[in-house]
Amino acid sequence: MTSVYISAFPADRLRRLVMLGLLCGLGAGAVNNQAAAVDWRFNGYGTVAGTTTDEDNAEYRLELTQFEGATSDVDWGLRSKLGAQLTAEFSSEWSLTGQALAKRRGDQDMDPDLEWFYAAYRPASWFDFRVGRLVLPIFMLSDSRPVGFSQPFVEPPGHVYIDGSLEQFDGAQLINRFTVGEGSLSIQTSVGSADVELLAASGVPPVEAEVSDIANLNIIYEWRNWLFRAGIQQADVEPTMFTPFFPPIEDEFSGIGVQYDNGKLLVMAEQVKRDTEPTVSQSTSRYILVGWRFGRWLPSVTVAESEQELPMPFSDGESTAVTLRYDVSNTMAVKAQWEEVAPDTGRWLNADPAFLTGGDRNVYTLSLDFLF
Amino acid sequence: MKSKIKSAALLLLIAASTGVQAENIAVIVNPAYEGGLDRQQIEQIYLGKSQQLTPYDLPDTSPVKEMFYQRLTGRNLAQVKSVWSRLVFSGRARLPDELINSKAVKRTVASDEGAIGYVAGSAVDETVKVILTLSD
Repeated sequence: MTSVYISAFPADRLRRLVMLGLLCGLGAGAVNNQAAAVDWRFNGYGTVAGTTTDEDNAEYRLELTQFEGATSDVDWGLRSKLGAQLTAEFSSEWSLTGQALAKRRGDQDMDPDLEWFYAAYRPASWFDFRVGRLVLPIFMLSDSRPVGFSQPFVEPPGHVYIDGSLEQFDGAQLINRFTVGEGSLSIQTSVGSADVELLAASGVPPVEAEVSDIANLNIIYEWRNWLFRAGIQQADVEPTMFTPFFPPIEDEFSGIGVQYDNGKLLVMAEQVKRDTEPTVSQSTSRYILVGWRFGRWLPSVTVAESEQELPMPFSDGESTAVTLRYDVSNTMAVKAQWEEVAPDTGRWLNADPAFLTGGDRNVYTLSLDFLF
Repeated sequence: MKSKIKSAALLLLIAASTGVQAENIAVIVNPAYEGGLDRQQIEQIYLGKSQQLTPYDLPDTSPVKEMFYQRLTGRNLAQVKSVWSRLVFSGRARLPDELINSKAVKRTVASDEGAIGYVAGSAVDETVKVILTLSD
């Protein structure tokens, strides 16, 4: 990335972040006893996707940071992404990593920003400490969410993952790993803060908010072909300017997830609850995916739903998706996905009042995921 | 007697033409490595879920690589890369270093007690220790 446009973070904060990262990196290099040169690693990922719906009076979107969505015209920007990660390893213990991600932010397509930028200290396999710009593991796939090649669906179901649009933050993360029985246990704690710009729902303007006192705990247990996770997060969210429909809130997420993958059968399921104090939002959302591999083909079905205990800011929603993935090569996959989505005010923007009374809408996506 | 020689010759021809296909793949570690690793644990290492040893890979163009992962994990290379990509882009694991050929793998494993690699069975020599053999 030759130029990085930081939309959500003030310039001076970015400068501080870059200084911090560079200082950590240089410091690590300076104290490094070995005269060995820095080991550089570069990896990238991307998705080219076109999405179209059979609805002209509302736009279908998947993240609160997206202010535009797909209609009956093919939308090439909604799900297209490009990510590039560079790691400098100064020693077996110290490294510096930056990952830039271009995707739709606001109404700008392929808008780049730093997804990750951190210094890491790993003195032992069970102690992994990072500081800088990081991603909160609110859900099971949060920290690999933009990597389409790693997923059976085009994207994690919007009914669950739309609430996790506050995933990036500045702060610190610690991952402790232990061997427990035949499996491995990972305990990840995150603390920090963030600035975000969100479009909560149709009919309200975008809001800039400060997210502070973030505390996240993510526990993962992997055993054979199974993965179990449980996570909890609390943060204070306050709009930078007073808005009547978005008071300062304490935002809490709690979720569980399970994955089974034996190379042939794939099952993924998550359930997430969200509560805010004062109670402007209370929801439970869940999904389950079942897929089966036939050689290079992976057909799957995903059923997702979101129950809003309170009418704000979204109405209830649900969807069923059928995805067919084909691994064209070891680093490229094509997916065709049909989703039947119930109309709701969270995932569908700029809808006219009659929209909600209609039946399910169809969303079609063709995508190409790749690694480089 | 003639027919026996004929069938033996035919078998040899088939074996030779299928080449590596018929061959075992040896998972190797440093001779000084004392820890016992079972197949499960080796699979965890090569899917990025365990850091017990540092894994080394052959290049994608090597037929041994695809066969190694298929036999060890029951997954093809695209699936394996999919599993790793989830970990690499969330900073939870780093991709195994790719070494150019089995000679380089043996050299690395022989000089590093914390290393693990795989080579065609026929490439094994006394500089490395075999902890698992993967056959068809």
